[in-house]
Amino acid sequence: MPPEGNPSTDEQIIFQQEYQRVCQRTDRLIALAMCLQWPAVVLAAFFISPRTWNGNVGVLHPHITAAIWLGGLITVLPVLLSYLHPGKRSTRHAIAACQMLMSALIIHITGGRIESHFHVFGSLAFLAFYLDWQIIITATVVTLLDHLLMGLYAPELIFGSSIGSEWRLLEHVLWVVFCDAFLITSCIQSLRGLREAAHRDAEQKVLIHHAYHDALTGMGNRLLAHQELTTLLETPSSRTGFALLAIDLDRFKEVNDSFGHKVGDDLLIQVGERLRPLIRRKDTLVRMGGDEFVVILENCPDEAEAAAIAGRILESVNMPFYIGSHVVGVGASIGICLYPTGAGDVSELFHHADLALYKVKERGRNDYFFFDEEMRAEVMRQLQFEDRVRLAVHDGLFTVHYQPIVNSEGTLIGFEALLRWTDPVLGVVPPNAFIPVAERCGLIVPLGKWVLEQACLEAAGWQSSAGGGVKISVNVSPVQLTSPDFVTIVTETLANTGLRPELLDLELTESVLVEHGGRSAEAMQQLRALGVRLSIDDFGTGYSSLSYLRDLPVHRLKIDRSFVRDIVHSEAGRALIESMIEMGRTLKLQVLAEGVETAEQFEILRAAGCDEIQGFITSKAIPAAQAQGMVDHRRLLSSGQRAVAAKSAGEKEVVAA
Amino acid sequence: MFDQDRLRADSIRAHTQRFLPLILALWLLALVPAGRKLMAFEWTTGATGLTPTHLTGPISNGLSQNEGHSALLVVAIHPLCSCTRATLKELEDAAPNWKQPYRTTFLIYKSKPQPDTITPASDFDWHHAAYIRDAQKALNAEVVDDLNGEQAAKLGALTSGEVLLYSAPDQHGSRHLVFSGGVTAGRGMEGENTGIATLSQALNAAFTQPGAHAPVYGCGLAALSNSTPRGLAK
Repeated sequence: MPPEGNPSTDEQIIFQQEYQRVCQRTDRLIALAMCLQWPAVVLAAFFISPRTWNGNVGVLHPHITAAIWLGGLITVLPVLLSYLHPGKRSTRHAIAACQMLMSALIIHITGGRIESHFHVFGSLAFLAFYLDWQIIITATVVTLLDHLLMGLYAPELIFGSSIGSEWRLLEHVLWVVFCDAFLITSCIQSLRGLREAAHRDAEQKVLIHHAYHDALTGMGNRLLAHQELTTLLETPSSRTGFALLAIDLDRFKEVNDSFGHKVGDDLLIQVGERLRPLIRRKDTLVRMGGDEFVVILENCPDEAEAAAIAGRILESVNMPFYIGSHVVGVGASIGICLYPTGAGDVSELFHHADLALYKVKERGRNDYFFFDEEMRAEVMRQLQFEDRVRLAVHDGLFTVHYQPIVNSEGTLIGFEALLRWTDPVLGVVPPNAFIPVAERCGLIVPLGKWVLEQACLEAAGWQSSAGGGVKISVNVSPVQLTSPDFVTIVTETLANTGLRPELLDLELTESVLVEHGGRSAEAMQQLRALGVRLSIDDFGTGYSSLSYLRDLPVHRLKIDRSFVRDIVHSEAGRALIESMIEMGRTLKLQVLAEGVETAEQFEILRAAGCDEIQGFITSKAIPAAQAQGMVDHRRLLSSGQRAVAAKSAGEKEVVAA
Repeated sequence: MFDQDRLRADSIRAHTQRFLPLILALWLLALVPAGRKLMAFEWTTGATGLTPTHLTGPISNGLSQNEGHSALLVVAIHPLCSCTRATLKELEDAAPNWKQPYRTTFLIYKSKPQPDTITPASDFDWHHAAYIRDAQKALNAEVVDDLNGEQAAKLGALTSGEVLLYSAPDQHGSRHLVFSGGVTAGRGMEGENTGIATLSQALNAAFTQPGAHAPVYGCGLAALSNSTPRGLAK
């Protein structure tokens, strides 16, 4: 993981790197220029005077020899240094000195011609590419030393004449100083520009770091994971395979809720610190958000390696975490997707890893699971089913059926509204198949609202026709109850339909009360204030904590059918249900038994003091029109009817939601 | 493949870096003699022969300017020598300030064709060289083609740029040597120098210490004038 970065340090580093690049480039540039100057000096010497004479015999002019040898010597050092020590301070000072020696050589071999002095200014301008005023100073010192020494001892070699050499020397020095002033200013300005650019780059680097990293743990974030995966997918070498591990901490929410966010944050940091040493340097660890982490294992062609790392992760995360004065224990669920067998693109990789993760959670958490083709087929089925559910909601293919509820005397006192769906393709789909899908897809809120409206509308009709009216029970999903406007929806529905609030009974599961404690309790209190009645559905099958019965404003317990099933033949079962009824009575709660199918069960429950009965003994769920008929008759279960009902109870129907 | 080349280059570089101090030392050592070689050419004086202190009969043959009663200035030059320009320029610049009457002769080296060599005869015409033409005008000089530098050699001038100043003839018709040597500070270098200063002083003063000498810088005139193209002296 790259360091988060300190802007000022980064600025310094970027500046140094950039300046180093400038210096190395200039080293090479000037070395190249000197390689070109060398033959140019030789040519200049040749054109000025190719030969010297001894009588009628001409020999190569010593200036040419000097240009070849001295020019070569002056050139070779910068070339060597730019190759062996590029970018070093000593290199550029040496190169500057050599460049100025080259200028001096040109001046000498041209006999101090004024034109050759322009080479000095050209060289200084070239050296300004280093953006280092000290280089200009070095070059100037070399030039001035040469001019001073030669100017004093052999001014002809510098000025071509010794006439007025002192003044000419002064004039030369002034020109060089004048040129230096410009060049040094230029260097300083350019260097400042470079530093400002480095500052901007450093700031940009920090911004980019923040964009790609998680502020809490310093690990990469979702964006980085996407980038890494995209890169891997585009890299031919990654065709050998890599693995994506989606990690979800188990019980993190409980830790967060129990010990506070600070402990939760520290836990995430510690988890990150534990995970980092478990992966290789080339692998990527990111925090996707919340308690979700992702590990990308590069060059991981088979399951064995990914499984080994996943196992190490589980082992490490299962060790207790010491956070302040707390000892925290969490687990991890890991969904693994392998490339290229598991997916073809980034979103598919994430989706498949999530599906595998979902499987792990479904199987009890704290384990790892690989995505496979069977899972893919299941996903396809799920997707198609989701589409059908969406279509059904959109086209209004759902209907509401009503199952009667009677009191211990067999008199009809209400109905439970039950959602039914008959799909043109799939046929009759049981609620336990489509309700979870509707919850997952976010369709449960509009669907639940529609059911509530339908049920209230029907019940309001029965209310007017039957004088005293009958109660209507409507199942409420956890998603609905925790939605912020649920109470408003109930209020508006009651107002719109004209149903008296005390006739509406909302059935909640135990899990709603436990998992969504604070928010649910608040909604329940508001509903209670409206006058709406609340029931605990499927009582006895969920969490064992009974404290909510004392604390929450519920009116009725609905004992799950599983407790009713064997009360005829099992002493223990009977004893258990009697205890539950007794407890409800003690807490001044109404008790309803679900799934009552036989007269024996009815009699046992009535004897035990059960207030209300629901099940096939009365009727299966029926359409609204038939329910109207029942309302008109009210008393459903005479003794004879109970026997008939018992015979017809062979038809099973799953009633759940 | 590219990585391997790069690694090999880095290895060579690292290996060579160890020798950098040695390379630097050798470089500095080489720089000194190379610099000295350059400067040696500038400051090495040319050969000087035995210059007659008195200009008498046979020696002065061929110097028609010798006939007059003024001082005689003889300048031996090699037309192809790059230093000639500086010598003539110095004389040209100094001449307007000379108060004593004088006559000037330019002995311009000209090679004589040799039957046993492939050296061509010089076809140099001084009229085509502006710097000689200007100097000739300024000094009102007589220009004499000096075949193989023989005339200059008789006067002991073996190096181009050598200037000889003989006094005006005395009552016996004899001239004595006032100045001999070069009038430049180095090879081809114009500017103040002791040679031109001494010469100017001699041509300005009524009386001059005889036999003044200044080093002369220039190409050889007579020393190798008989050499073959391969440079072997006969």
